[in-house]
Amino acid sequence: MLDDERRPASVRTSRRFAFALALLVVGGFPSLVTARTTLTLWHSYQGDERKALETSVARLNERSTTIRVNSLWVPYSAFIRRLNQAIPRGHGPDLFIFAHEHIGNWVESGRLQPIEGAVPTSELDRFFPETLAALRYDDKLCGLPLAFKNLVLFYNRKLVPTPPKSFDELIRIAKRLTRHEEHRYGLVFKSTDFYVHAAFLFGFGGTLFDERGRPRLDTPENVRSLEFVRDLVRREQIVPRNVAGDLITKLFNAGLAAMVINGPWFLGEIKAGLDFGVAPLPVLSQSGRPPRPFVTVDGIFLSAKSNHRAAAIEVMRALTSDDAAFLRATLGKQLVANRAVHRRPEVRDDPKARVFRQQLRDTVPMPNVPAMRFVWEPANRALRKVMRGAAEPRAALTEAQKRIRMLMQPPPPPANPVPYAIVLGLLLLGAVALWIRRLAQPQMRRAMRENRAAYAFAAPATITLLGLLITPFVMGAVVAFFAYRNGAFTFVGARNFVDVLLSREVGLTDPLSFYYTFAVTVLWTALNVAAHLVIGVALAMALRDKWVKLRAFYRVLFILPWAVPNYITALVWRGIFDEEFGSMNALLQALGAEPVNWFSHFWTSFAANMVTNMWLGFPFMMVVTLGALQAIPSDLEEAAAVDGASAAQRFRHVVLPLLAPALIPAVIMGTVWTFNMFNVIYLVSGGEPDGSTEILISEAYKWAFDRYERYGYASAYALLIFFILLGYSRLTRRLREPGRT
Amino acid sequence: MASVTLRGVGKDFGATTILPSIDLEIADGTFLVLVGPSGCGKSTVLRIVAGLEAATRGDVAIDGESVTDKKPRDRDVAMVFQSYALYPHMTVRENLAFALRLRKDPQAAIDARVAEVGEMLGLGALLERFPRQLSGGQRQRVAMGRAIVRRPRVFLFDEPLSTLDAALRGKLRVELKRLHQQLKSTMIYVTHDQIEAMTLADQIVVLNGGVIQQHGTPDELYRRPANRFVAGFIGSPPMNFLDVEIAKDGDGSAMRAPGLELRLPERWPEGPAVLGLRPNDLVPSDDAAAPLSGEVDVVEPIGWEAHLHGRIGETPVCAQLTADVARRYEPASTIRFDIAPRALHLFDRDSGARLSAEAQDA
Ligand SMILES: Nc1ncnc2c1ncn2[C@@H]1O[C@H](COP(=O)(O)OP(=O)(O)O)[C@@H](O)[C@H]1O
Ligand SMILES: [Mg+2]
Repeated sequence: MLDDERRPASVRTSRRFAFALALLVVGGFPSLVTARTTLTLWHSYQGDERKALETSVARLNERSTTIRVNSLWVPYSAFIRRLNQAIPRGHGPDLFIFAHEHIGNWVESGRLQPIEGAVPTSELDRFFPETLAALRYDDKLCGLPLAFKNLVLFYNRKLVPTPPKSFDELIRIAKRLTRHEEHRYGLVFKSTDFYVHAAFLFGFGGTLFDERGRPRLDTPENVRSLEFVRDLVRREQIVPRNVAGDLITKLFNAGLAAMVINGPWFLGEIKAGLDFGVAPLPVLSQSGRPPRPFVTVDGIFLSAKSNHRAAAIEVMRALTSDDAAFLRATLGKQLVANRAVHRRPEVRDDPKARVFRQQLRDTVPMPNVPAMRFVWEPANRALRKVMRGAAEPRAALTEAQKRIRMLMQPPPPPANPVPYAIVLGLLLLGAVALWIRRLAQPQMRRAMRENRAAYAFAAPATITLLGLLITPFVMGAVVAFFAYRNGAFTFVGARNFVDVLLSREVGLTDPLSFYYTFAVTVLWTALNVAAHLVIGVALAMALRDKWVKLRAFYRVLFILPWAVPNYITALVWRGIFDEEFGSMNALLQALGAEPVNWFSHFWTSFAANMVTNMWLGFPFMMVVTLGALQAIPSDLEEAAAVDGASAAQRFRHVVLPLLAPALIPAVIMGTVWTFNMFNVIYLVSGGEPDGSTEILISEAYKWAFDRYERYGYASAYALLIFFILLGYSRLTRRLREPGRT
Repeated sequence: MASVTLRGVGKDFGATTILPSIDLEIADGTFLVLVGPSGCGKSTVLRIVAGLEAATRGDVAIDGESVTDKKPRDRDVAMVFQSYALYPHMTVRENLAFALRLRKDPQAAIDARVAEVGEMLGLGALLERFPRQLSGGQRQRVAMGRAIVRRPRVFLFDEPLSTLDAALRGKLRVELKRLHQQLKSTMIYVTHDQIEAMTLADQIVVLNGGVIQQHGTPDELYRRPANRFVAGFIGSPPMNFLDVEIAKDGDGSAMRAPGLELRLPERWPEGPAVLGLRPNDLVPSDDAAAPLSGEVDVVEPIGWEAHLHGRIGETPVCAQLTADVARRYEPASTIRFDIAPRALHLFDRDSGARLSAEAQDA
């Protein structure tokens, strides 16, 4: 919300005018003077869903004499961050609509207030019980459900006239329709995504938490579910191994996927005219039970900081009424949580809605407890390992369990900040004393006086730069001394550094250890920079020669990789190295070689990263070399030629030493860039296999964002990276300084 | 020690012909200077001999053996570049030793040779310096030293002195001459400066527009320039040219032009011609019958001699006199000159070719 002061004057004037008008109106109709309670509602719906919601809000505002709802759209990707920031500071919404799985966190961190008991039980009967169950945390109802999402089976009617009832039947049909060489698959789903796998896990009677609510993955039922999916992928081979991005949509729309397991959002991605049907997930023949996918529920929730609890609950009830739900079902095409709406003909007669509703009976609410976030990464990792054949299901889950234990370790104990404050104070004091001593020197004072104008002119830029550069750096450095849990930072002193450097939690050779990753980073940097240098210099030398026809053309061509944003290049190379759909394997097969599962072995995965980064990095070296070559007079080389030097000797004894002054800074810069080349690692190998190709910077990112938000630990990594690079630049400074004699 | 032979050597850059066809025979031990105006193709000839530029046609032979298809390193020639082309990242010692190191001479031999040449060129104290720490003259000496250490079959110089100031240039010219006398090697020296050519050369080749104008000793070129171009190019101050008409006159010929009336005993081709007179061949005369008369413009005394600039008819001329004689002439006064018959150079008005008197029938 903008303050009045920051609005343009014209807006202010017109608001004053409106206010005067309102006074008039109010004066004329005293009956309306009861002050309306204004409530803010955040949501991230788009398109028809947004229209449906906003229509309901408008109707509510029209009807109600006491309440006014302002709905505010917040982008989905920024929703949680903004919500988490705004509510504690008191400028968040009163109500918000979002997926339910975060409510545990919100309740624990005091952002959400439960509404247990505030809505009559009879009224709650209008919702599917599964959707209400999802909104309970700690046995308290935390919101009202709007809509649900679950997985079902989509099938291409041309390939599969009637959907299978059991998985045995599905496997038979799928086998008949699978043709690997044509990239045709009987069944496509993200077998390495735990969100999808959960359906099988629960279908086999598996569980995620033990009786005390702690994550527990290595149960026999869970192992069986993993074996089952592994067999679909690796033995029956009816499911592609690695389904990334929008591949499902592409395959289904191209008629290359006969059946797909996916959620309601998929309806909007299927191309018009494709004859498809949806069916409940077929029964698992082994367990005799159907798979039970997660259900996620869009709920409307009440902020803990709202001052209008009663009014807000009234709005929640109004927006989840059958009429509002009907609007969302018909206009917004949502799968609404209201049972009565599903009995109205418009919805009842929609065969697709029927199937989702039917499947809803066999779902498990996505856990909303905070501990769930320990599950995702280890579980996904286990899935990837099993699907690429690197581990047996049992071993993979045992390892995942170990990892969960490690991630769940309690945060380090709070440290006494006093010694740190004293050290920091002394350091600052020392710095200030040094400054004062320098300022006290007469020549310094004279210089300051003489250059007063210069200092004044430089000050704004200096202050801005300091602000932009130093602030984030200091913040990051400070975070490294804290541990973060459930939205709160605790001061832990140097403990994060100690943990990182002593590799307390893992062995030295485990990919999670700092030293392992550091070694990989050094190897990565050295090999890349060497390759960039060799390729860049070689190409520059080749392009310099007069005999290369069209060299202007080649120069542009070779600079292109540089001009394309590097994450796009990285994504393209990720696709090229895809095991089943990538052109690298297609090429290998065309040459009669076996396809390579690039991201299952350290060296092939490392090589894929290398190739991508070489592609990105050589143009810089080439351009630097071309520039430096221009500065080498041609007669030096001619003199050497006459002196009896072969082409190689001329390069070695004349060209290279003269290129060195330009190449050394380029190598130093290239080293720093490569050392921190996050995009390539993150997007190409993603650290696969098992985090072994991670470099320090991507590892730091994973600690912060993929593994239970260990911001302090990640900041310690970042600070260590900074000091490593600082040390490196100190070491190389002498090389850069001109005048070696 | 080697001879160099160019047979029909030509060079095109793209569609432009820079050298149509050069034939040149350079005997062993000759100091040959290739002289001509800027852009006439001198460097190109030299670079073709060095192997830095491939000839478009023709053949280059050293010591009778064709080197046309050989790389520079296989020709055993040394070249001194106008820009010195010293390796900036090597000390003087390393610069000198570079070629020897490449051909893997024993280290002791290299050291001895570098010391010897350093001594010869007075570089002894500079051996550990880098080129950027040297003056222009010192750099030029190092460049020469780098050629000398190798004892090549042929030395090639591409305007080695042109970037130096006049005093240094004169000094180094003498050193070069001494060097040649000492080494007795074949040297091809390119310059656009005719004084350098005259002072250094055993043989001069005058090149213009990629075509050899004349090849001979400095004396021959001075005394009997083959055409008007060579005549004008060699000699300082340059030769004066007057447009004249030649008519039959008894047994001999008569040459006329405004301010000029001269009877020649020999029979010359009749019609328009160009008379060339060197400034020092113009001898002032008080004789009213002297064949040339003109008007004085400016007298330029230069120590013991003076250049007198005047006009004969409408043509500006320069006469080289002793300062005493020149002092007698005031600006705007009339001056008459005598000329020795030997001093006459006549050229065809159109082709510029040297004319000669018709052979006297007995
Ligand atoms: N590499 C080249 N490409 C095209 N033209 C060239 C090249 N080198 C020299 N020339 C041309 O050839 C002519 C002769 O050059 P050069 O031999 O260097 O002349 P000089 O040394 O007599 O001054 C010049 O007109 C020059 O522009
Ligand atoms: Mg030249």
